[in-house]
Amino acid sequence: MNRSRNRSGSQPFGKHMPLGTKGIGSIAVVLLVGLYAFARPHLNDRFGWQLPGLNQHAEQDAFAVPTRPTQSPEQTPNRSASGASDATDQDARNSNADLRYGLLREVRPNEFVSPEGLRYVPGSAEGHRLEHLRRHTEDMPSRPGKHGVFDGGMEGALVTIDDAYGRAKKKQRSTKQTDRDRTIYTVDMERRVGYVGGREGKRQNHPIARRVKLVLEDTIVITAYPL
Amino acid sequence: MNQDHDQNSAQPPLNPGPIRSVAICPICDGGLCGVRICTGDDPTEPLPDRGFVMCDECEAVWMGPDVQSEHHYVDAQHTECPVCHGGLWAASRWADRDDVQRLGWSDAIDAGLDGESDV
Repeated sequence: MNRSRNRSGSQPFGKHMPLGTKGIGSIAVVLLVGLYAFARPHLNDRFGWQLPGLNQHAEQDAFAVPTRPTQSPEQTPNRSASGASDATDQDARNSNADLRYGLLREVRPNEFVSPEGLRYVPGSAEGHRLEHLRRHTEDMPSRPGKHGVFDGGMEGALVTIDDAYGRAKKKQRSTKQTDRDRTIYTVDMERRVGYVGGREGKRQNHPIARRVKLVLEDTIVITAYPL
Repeated sequence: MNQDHDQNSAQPPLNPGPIRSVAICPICDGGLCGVRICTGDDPTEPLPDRGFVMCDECEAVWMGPDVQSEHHYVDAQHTECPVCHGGLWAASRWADRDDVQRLGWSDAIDAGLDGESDV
């Protein structure tokens, strides 16, 4: 009934009611809030900012590492402040506790698999592919040439690499090069994922990195770094 | 800029990589094509004194200092030295200035890519 009454035009803001200064102000505020909510993820992605959300405290993850990569909205789980989600959050935390770096499942001793199916196995000069990857979570200022550094430490690097692989599998803004048993992807992440360090990066004042180079043997990660 | 996490609180220093390199890797664009020298996997045998070039990122291998020549890759899980076929990391090491001179590859070295320990 109410619905039909509303359709008939008997709303409080009927067209015969002139908009006062307060009315215009309210509309302007609503428009600005909407504009901010729309632009925030794009600005964060584009410039690597971390503008607060309108519901910031509800979005924050109690188990998040101190530094995380800038996440796209689809990567950031929507968390409500209601008690109903608390049990789900607790379950997620319990299952995360069994995961290496909060992401990788150990399928055999020292062999880890990511949600997208990438495998991290023993090998490389460092003894394990994960240890090789750790080189790309810190700058090596004296290393000749460029040295890509992921944002967010190991956790951030692993999430970004998995995201890059997901995009590559969907052929989303990526190139694929196959050479013998190696597959080399270059994936445009369309957001900041790290920066360029090393001697050359330092000379260029550490430019922002938005792409990921991913070198695989089948699904084994040989190396991955931002560029 | 990046903080580390508690799982890495007592991590060893990062592997510095090659000492003497011939190029930035033409395959992955990010690695250093460093000279490695085979030290052999049998201590009772004389040193082979043979070298190879390897990218420290994608692990492409060249048997000479020309990285435009034929290459292959180290197997991801069964890494072996391409000279003596012993374990790659035990049976070879990054070559220093003297090693490179002994190999006769000094002219191929890009001095701008020299690692810290040999500058």
